[in-house]
Amino acid sequence: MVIALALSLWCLHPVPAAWALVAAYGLGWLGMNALVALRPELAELSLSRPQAIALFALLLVPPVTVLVRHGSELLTEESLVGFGENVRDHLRLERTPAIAPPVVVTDEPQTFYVYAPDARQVEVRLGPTAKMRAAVELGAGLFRLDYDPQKDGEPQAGEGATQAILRVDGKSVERTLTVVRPRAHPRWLRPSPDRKLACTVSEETDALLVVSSDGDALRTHVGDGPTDCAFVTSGEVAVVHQFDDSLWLVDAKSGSVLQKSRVGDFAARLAVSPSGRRLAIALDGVRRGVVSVAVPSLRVEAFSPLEVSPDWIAFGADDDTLVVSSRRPAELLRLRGKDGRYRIGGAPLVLGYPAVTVARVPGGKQLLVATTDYRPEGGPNPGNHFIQDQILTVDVDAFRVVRQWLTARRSARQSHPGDVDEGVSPMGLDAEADGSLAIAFAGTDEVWQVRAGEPTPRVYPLDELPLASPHGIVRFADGNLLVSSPPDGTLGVLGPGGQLRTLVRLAPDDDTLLRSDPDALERRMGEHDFYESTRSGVSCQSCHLHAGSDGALHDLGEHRLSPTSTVRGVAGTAPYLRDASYPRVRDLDELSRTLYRGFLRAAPGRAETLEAYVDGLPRLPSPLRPADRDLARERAGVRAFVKARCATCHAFPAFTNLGQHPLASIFPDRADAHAPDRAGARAPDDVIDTPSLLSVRWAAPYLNDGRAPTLRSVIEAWNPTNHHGDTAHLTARERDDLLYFLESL
Amino acid sequence: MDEESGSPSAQAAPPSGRDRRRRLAAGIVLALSATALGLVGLFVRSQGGSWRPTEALWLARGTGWTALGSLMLALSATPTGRLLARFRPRSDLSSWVVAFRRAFGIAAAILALLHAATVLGLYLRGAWAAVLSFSYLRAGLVALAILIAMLVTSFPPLVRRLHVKLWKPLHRLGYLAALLVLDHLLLSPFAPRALTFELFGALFAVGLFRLLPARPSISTGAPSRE
Repeated sequence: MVIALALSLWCLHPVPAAWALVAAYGLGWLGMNALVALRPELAELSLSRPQAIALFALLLVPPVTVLVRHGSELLTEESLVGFGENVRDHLRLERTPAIAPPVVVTDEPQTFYVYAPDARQVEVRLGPTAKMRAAVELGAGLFRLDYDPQKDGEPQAGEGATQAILRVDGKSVERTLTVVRPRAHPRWLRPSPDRKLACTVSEETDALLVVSSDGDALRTHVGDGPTDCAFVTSGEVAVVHQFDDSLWLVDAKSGSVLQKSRVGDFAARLAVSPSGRRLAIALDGVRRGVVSVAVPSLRVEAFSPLEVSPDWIAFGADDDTLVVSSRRPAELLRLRGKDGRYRIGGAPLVLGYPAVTVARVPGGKQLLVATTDYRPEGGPNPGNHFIQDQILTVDVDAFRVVRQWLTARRSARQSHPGDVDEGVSPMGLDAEADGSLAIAFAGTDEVWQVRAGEPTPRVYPLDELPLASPHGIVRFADGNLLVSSPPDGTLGVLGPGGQLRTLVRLAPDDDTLLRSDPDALERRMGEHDFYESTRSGVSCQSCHLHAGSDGALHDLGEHRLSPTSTVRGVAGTAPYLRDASYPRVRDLDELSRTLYRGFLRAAPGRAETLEAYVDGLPRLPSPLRPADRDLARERAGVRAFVKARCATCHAFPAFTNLGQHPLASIFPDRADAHAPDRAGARAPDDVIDTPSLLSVRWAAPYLNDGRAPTLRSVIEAWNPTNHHGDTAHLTARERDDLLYFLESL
Repeated sequence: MDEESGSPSAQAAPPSGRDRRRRLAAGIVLALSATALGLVGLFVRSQGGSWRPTEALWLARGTGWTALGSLMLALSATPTGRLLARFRPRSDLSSWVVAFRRAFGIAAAILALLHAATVLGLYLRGAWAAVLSFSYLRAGLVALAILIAMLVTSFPPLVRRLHVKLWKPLHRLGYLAALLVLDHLLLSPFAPRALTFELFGALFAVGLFRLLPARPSISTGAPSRE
């Protein structure tokens, strides 16, 4: 009777929360007590069983109906949405020996961590067809496993779940991991000097592709993780890599490797000098800077170190002027030098938000820079979730922006006035000497041709073609366009009118994948979703550049600034976002449907495909190769990590306990975060998630509102109360060791 | 905490037995509270004890887990009593079950209060509004409110003064409190999930004995409302 009365009371003002239900029960109980106190005979009231059941049912039907109607709100309020996933992730990490991360990709070297308390020896086989490898003991029960699929064998023939064997002090246990086999992803295209050929690389399949205007494609296997290529002459292509420390020179006609030269690994891009006598290679590993290589000898001329991570690189008008873009800080640096030794010449050109792509205008006096916003004064845009895709023209000599061209167009094609359906995410740029420009838009699946003298661009939609999320574009000498699609693994030759002439497939088509590998098809669709624009002109890609981070702060509403997190390696770390506001990746689809007014195209199951794509992404690799690691410092770093009690929350082996904390418990000095500070900016909510520290080197800026620019500042300047780890009791040496260990993760 | 006897004041045992049980109950409450605090103190000292967040965490953990243990023992008392009654049908088991249940229930409420005070004072450091932002803290707070209500109505003189006639529907919320504690643990940052499942699995298994019929021999003679 009390239950029925309580639910009826709750129905009067149905607050979907457990406390409200309990409070209603309390009120009901008090009411019943009062009733019995006033009318004691009620306590003696006896009903027959059918009467009692009928009365009970009558009283319960309306409140139960209301309760069911508010069920989903109740689950959300009580954080029970995604509860199963969260508990599963916790149990996976608690069950020692535990291994993290849970995803194994077959295309690149990865580092795994195993937590086996009190173990002396750990060996791991990541799947039935992989070799058993010894893990390196780091202390405190933590072991590191360096895995290279090329040397150690792929985990299994197909994709999906695999059973990894962890042999701990001779005793074997099985742990489930997910194997992901990435398909070919051709990205940016480079034309030959005569524009009769174009080249691109597929990092996932270690392939170089040289394509002609007729669609003839030459595929050559190159080193591990090719990141960029460029024609040195009309017949020779230079290729640089992430995991192979050599520059390869390949014959564009035969595909034979002509020459190799060691330049260093973690090469980001390369550029050919105007004279053709020099290559400049941007390195983003332990050594950050630019390597100059003489052509044709491929002799390394010099290494010019940089304080920032170089991303795009382009020569100016001569061999002695080089422009390098950096994601964080988001700026362009102009380097000047002689004989391949470059130094920063002058102040950087502040962009505010990083260059998505950079193209050199023939002659080198100007560069074209695509970006998601331009803030020359620096600092985040105060607009709520503000993104404004645009192409900037930079005068290299004056080193300033001379033209700002907003590309995201509005038209009446969408259902609501003001919706955006064109010009989102300019990803590929190809500028020609006559002033014409070809642009590939990954957000709106289209290609623009801007011709000199024509006021409006010619728009070629790619919606109906297997060229989703186009990245690279090149205009051949005969007027045909070559477009690349990383998700579809295709290259398409378009005629001058935009019609598809030839399609080069580097990966199986959708139908084949549906039959042979539905998981890969789901990921492909999710990748397309990731790049696709919403009606507000924002895509996931807008901030999470290529599933990484733009390194910028964004206003997430009510002046709450939050740094963009990478979405790589997040599988098994639910819940998501800095404030843990989304229990599953798929739940973020709600954000696109509401705040961003939905995607351009209807796609059933989009939430699930997006989740499949994100969950299949490996974390960013450690910049330290196994041979380069200083094991003694690493072990000292683990000791410092444990001594400072970092492992209390950043627990082994995932370096997170998946927990959420009140801001005041970790950063009492920031507990007044709701008070406006810097220029009216506010920190996010007082709920902070414990992020994984795997790949933390690449995750700057740090902490919940991005206030710490470096890892050192996290443990020193921004831990004044010593609650974010007991770092105050570490010696200077221990801090250095801790930082070394963190950067190696 | 006195569900089966029909009334908190309804004790059929002779005075000497009742005194014994009261002393036992008080002893359990004191012993559990002292053990919880002592263990926490020892652990903090063994860990160095100089870092305040660690002290706060261990105080919170120590009081929290002991409170949970007490609550589980209180909830297990009746089912265990029913099981034992099948083997010793003529014993005065019921009154002992009631004594144990009340003692552990009171200990659970007091330790939960200590746990909440530790969390609010040392972990949240006065930022009490944060409780509203975390569903696991809200669940814990609601469970605490239930335990306090049960604590207050566990003392017969107080029940009489408050003119509480229907105490049983309130004490049945003990099961809801346990569910809320489960929610509290499974969403909290530090609680080991596997241990939580094992403990609640065991509680559920023991709770199944409640389905056994109550033997007349363990009835205290007070009117039963079940």
